[in-house]
Amino acid sequence: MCQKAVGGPFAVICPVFKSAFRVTRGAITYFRSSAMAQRGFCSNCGTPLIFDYPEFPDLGVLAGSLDHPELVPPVVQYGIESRVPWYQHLPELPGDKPTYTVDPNGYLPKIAASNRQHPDHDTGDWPLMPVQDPY
Amino acid sequence: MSDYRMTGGCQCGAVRYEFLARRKTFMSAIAACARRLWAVRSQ
Repeated sequence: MCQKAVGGPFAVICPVFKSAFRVTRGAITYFRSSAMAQRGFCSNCGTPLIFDYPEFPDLGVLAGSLDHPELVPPVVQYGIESRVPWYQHLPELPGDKPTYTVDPNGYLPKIAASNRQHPDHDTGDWPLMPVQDPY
Repeated sequence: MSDYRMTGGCQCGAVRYEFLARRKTFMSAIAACARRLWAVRSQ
């Protein structure tokens, strides 16, 4: 379920007490995945944001949505029986060069000129660009 | 103990959030949540 919910091989979840968590802009939309749990995401761009178990005092922030996910290293694994078989070989794969150190097709300036992604820090104002289906 | 003030949000900037946690309770929450997620993760 975590794999589907985040569109990746695993979810990295950072538990946070609900009393210490607040939304500072917009609103989280929820998919009620069962009677026990709901999964929060952005209804505009689809980014998975939280896993929430309404009965419990804490929720799970998806670490990939943090501005600084490097500050919350994982401390425990669960659901390892669902691990994709190629997971253990990831560190053995050949590394790539840092993104856009080579840009033969000239993508970088085009992306920079049209980038709609929010930066990894709070902003006072941010123009919301509706996401359109290109297909 | 150091406190955490963490911020985050979605790609498009429509949703932003923040949370505060003290290191001691933060680690307790991780352990508690891990145990619970083990039980309900498929729900």
